[in-house]
Amino acid sequence: MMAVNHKNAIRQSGARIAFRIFNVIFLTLVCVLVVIPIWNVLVTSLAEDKDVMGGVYLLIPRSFTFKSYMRVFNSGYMRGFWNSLYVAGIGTLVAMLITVPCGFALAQRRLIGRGVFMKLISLTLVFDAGIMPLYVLIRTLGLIDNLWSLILPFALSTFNLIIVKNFMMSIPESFVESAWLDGCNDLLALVRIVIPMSVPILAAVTLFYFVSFWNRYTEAVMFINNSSRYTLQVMLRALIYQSDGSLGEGNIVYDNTKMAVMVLGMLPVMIIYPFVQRHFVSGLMLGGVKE
Amino acid sequence: MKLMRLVSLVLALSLVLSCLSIVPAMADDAVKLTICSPDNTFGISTDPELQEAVTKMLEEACGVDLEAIIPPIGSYNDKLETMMAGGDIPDIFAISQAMTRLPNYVAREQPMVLNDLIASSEALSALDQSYFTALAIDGNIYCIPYYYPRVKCIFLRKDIKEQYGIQLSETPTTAEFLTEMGKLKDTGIIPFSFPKWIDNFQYFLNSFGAYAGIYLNSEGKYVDGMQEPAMLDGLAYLRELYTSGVMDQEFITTENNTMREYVYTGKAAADIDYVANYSNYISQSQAAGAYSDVQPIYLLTGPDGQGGGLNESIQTAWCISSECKNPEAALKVIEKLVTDPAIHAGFYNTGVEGVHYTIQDGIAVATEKATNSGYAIKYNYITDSFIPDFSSLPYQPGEEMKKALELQRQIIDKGMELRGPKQMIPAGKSELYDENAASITSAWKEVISQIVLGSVTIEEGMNNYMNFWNSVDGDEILKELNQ
Repeated sequence: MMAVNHKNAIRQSGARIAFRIFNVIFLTLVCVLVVIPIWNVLVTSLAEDKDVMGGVYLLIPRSFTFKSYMRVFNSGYMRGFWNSLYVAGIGTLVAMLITVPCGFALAQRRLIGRGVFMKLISLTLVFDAGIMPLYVLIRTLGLIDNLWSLILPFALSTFNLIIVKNFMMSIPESFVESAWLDGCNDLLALVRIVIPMSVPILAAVTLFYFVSFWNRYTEAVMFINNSSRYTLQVMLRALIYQSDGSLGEGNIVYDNTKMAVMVLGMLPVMIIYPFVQRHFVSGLMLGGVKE
Repeated sequence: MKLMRLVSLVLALSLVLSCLSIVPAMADDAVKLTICSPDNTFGISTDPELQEAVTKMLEEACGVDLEAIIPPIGSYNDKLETMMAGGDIPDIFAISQAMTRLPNYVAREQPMVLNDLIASSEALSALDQSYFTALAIDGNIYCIPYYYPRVKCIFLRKDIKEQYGIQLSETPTTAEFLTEMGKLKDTGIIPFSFPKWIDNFQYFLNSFGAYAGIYLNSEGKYVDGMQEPAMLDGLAYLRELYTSGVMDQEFITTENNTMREYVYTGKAAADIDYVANYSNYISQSQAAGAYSDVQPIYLLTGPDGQGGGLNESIQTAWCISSECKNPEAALKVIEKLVTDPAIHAGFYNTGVEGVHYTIQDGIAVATEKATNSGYAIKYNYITDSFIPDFSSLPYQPGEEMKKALELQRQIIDKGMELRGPKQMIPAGKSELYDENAASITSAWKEVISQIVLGSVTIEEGMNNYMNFWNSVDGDEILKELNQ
């Protein structure tokens, strides 16, 4: 009997080892697939002009120069970078200031009409009016050509609101009730009790908001008229399209400069991600749980 | 009594405030206009500071106050159409793909009729009026072009041609092209690089007398080119170009700039490009360390002696909004852009002295700031525009560039002479056509690309097209157009 059990144990651990090896190989391949394009962007951005001509896909560096970066840092693209940073920074702040209290309010079972509010909010997940009604709204608000037109309409994401609300619903009500007993009102209970307990989800949602504001393109083209207020994404796309010269008039911009602007575009998210990564996965998992 | 005093005070205050609000308007009596054009204009730079300098140059030249809207070229049409739909149409706006878009904009009553305004302008009246009337709808001119019609030819690297003994004239036959370019098979060189834009196939269809899309035939009747017998021969030739390995096997994902870079670097022997881009091949192959002159192939002569370069006609032109309050001032701006050498060169290519470039020994040298944003001095305006003489400008191209531009001028003239047909269906002739024009174009593009790539046979492709044609009631469209 003992021998049989021992045999089973060995067989199980063998399967486990095979599974682990498979996992490692599979995940390595996935990582390589994810890393290769980023590596290509980096290598190309550091190459000389002549090494990037002819549609080459560089993986092994042929040359090493910071010339493209120097060009970009001393060019008009930096204004786009600061505009993007402004929109993403302020936008994330405003969005969090709206999403967190809304999530807290909707998590309260005593909120009258909570079900109706949730249904109305959920509707926006399914139906999107498109760009035209939004354009007319922005124009009516007098926000055309104003960076706030890229912040206010997107300051509340239904998806983010729902995960924040679900997370806050998972916090035992007794915590909030004891805060009330200690003399806290709703706002103080939110600030002193709920927010410190919601750090994982807040970190995840902050990243979501930041990335969504940082990457916004269509609205920036539609709502902004003055090119000095364009965000980096608009300028990057302009650079790529303009150098295509499909009408024969465009500039000839080599891929190394384009890739250097792309690196600039990836930079803030790459800087922020490691700081929130610790909370990121747990935040997502917890946000999906409904008590 | 107190109430009366209060009312009087409020009235007096409001009067003072209204007077104050007039003061800046009086001080700044320049006409205010909005101008919208993609970012391959305004000195061809994506740097806002450089663009502002060009706007200022234009303001000073025209004595107007301009609000410039300069969207990226890739999103230009979306932006313009959103502004139109939202009621924010700019006073002056550029349209691209004018032959397909203008009829639609006219149907939406967005551009103003310009016949009388053009007649009142000495400079514009002096230009060849056929360029204006080429885009006229029912005799009305809605837009003002600023360069000659666009024509494409094949550019073949002379070094590869000589090395591999390729015997091709400037107007070879379709069979010669296939055989001679076939000599490059298995050499590691792409014989003929082609971009993903299916419209370019018309260059080859011209050799068989075929035309993709609805057109007015020689009998004055509108027909669908896809259903004409000549189309089958044209498609068979395109398929052969692909299967024989002459055409780049990855053309369906090739961007224009990639296609050009293949030829600049010698990775490909030939490509299809605007005749006005000849000088780029000289300068860029040099920059790539693979210098070679290129030979234009204006057309391929088909079995029946037919053929023609790819005629893209007038692609971009200026319009004035039907809601513009100061059309005369708007026309003055366009007049300067189209006919004034300094403004034209600055706006479409070189920018502003001291900002985009400095002049050293009579030659313009790009500033560091401009270079960093991808700006480079280009002299295409010398051969592209209606302006015959740019010698008044304080900067001139260098000797080598001058020679290349002289050749370019000759290539443009020959390209214009040998260009194939380009047809425009007037708006409002058939409501059904106006509704389905875009889908008809995308349907033939899809079918042609499927046939060339071999995912369907010619017969299957044509059946698919006919299914589409019947679904949009194509016969009724032709009936309405022919009424």
